Amino acid sequence: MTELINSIYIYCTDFTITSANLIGITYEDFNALIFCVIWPLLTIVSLITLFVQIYLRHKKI
Amino acid sequence: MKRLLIYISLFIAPFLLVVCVNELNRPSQLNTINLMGKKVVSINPSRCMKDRCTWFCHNHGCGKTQKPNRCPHKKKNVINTGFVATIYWGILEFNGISNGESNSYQSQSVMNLVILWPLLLLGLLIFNIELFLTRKKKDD
Repeated sequence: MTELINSIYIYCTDFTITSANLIGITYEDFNALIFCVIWPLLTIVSLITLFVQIYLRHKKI
Repeated sequence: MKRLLIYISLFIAPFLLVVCVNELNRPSQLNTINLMGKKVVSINPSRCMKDRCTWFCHNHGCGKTQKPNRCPHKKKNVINTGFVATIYWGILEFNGISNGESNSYQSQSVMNLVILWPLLLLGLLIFNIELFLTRKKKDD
């Protein structure tokens, strides 16, 4: 199991390093862009949209 | 059935992107890195290179900084500064980077950033789509 987790970790880290090189930014910048900007923004937008939809649904009833 | 296929595709798409990027950029000669005392095969090399990021950046950091053990790139950290850097190191701490040699950092990272967070996002997306379609049906 540990070997599998390590393999997934290495494969994903290789993806972030390769993507950073393709875009032309540093590895740390790419990680920060994905995990500190894009994903949190997507999560917040999804949550807001969900709450708005639930509110609208209850308002109509 | 069609909707289920769309949801499965949405789930698979990011993983497919990871595989495509890695496999299209896989060098003819694979590199080896040292992970917790074990030599493992990797796509990127472990040594510091001036023009690109490598595993050295993962292990010691990178960007144009004053720290002596960092890889001295021409590239500079633009996004990972100030408040964003605080969140970034917070996430790494949460995943257990300070545990050092233990395996928990790798397993926590995989669990949180490869499984749980993407599943949460997928769940939210599916819930949003389903709610939207239900509302649309009622309006019609």
